[in-house]
Amino acid sequence: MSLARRLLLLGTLVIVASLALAVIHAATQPRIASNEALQRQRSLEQLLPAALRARGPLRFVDDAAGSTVWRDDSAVARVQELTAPDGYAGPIVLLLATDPGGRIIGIDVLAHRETPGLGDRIEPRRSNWLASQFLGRSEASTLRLHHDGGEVDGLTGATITTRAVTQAVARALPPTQAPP
Amino acid sequence: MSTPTISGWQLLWRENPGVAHLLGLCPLLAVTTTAVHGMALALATASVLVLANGAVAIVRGAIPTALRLPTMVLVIAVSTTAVMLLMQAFLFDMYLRIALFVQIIVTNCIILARADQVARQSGVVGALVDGLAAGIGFGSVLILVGALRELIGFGTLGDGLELLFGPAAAGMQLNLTADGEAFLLATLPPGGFLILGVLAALHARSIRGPG
Repeated sequence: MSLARRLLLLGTLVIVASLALAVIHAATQPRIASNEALQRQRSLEQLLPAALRARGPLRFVDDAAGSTVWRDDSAVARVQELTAPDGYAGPIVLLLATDPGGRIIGIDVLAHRETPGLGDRIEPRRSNWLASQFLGRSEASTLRLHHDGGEVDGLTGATITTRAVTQAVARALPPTQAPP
Repeated sequence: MSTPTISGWQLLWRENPGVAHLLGLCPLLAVTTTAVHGMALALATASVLVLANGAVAIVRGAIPTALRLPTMVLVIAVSTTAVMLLMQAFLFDMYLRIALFVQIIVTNCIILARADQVARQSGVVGALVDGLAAGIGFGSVLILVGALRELIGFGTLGDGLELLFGPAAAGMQLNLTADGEAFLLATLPPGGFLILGVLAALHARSIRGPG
């Protein structure tokens, strides 16, 4: 078989393969897009306290730094993604919700690669550490591990992980105002 | 690729790609922290095997030897992408958990090995049977290792079943410990190697006998 015929044959196969994929892509795309939108909406709503969700439909308006959550004409919360770059096994991505006064009303882990059984206890489905240590806080100055002179309890065997998370949250809160 | 011919149903037990040939170790050990993760990857890998084998069997008559490898790579890449898209459309939450390992099915040597076998000798039906047998053989190792690691490591069985079988399966999880923690080594990579090693040894003993 000559080189030209081989190239022609391979080219034909590539075109057929691309067409097949294009068809599957077109058929699944709407469903995938709606899955992704639903997933995002769900994870944002899960983050907010039930009381806030119960009172009426929420709208999420995205901007460069995160999303503002609106009900009717008032901003009821702010949601932002944080990255703790110094996790034990790479960056830890968190989702933080604060009320208009800067108080933490919701927190979740979006992505991490911490050690199973040790660092992965920052995941809400593995332990309630995240909620118990951060919900209700608004003072960035107290957001340090006990080790480091703050008020946050670390997790045994996961000091680096919990320190990274704590520092990331502290950085995201507005700086504490000096007393007048 | 001049491996001796291994055909069809032998892949289920005697020539099992997972425990007899130790192929596909990377996804096998990386994903199988729970039985459900194993099941999901088993489903994806078996689908790719069947699709790729079928497609190779259809075009093999028209493909000269020089083009065999590029054709197989193309077919496997297309099959993997198709399975990826379908999982994102119909098993989205499951896909999110094992996405990377679905994507790297494309490099799984079991699939290339079976496609090569099929390209040399097989009708379409034989190719589908071959793909299915390899998929079930490898998949059952994924599920078994996943189940053992989950049981030993977390003390649970069937965590996340609802991601694969819908909300009806949500309550079907078995919990042996209160806090979902047991012998953690099993969930870490060394534990995966140990469990797979024990399975491979048992397999070899049952086939070759002691000694």
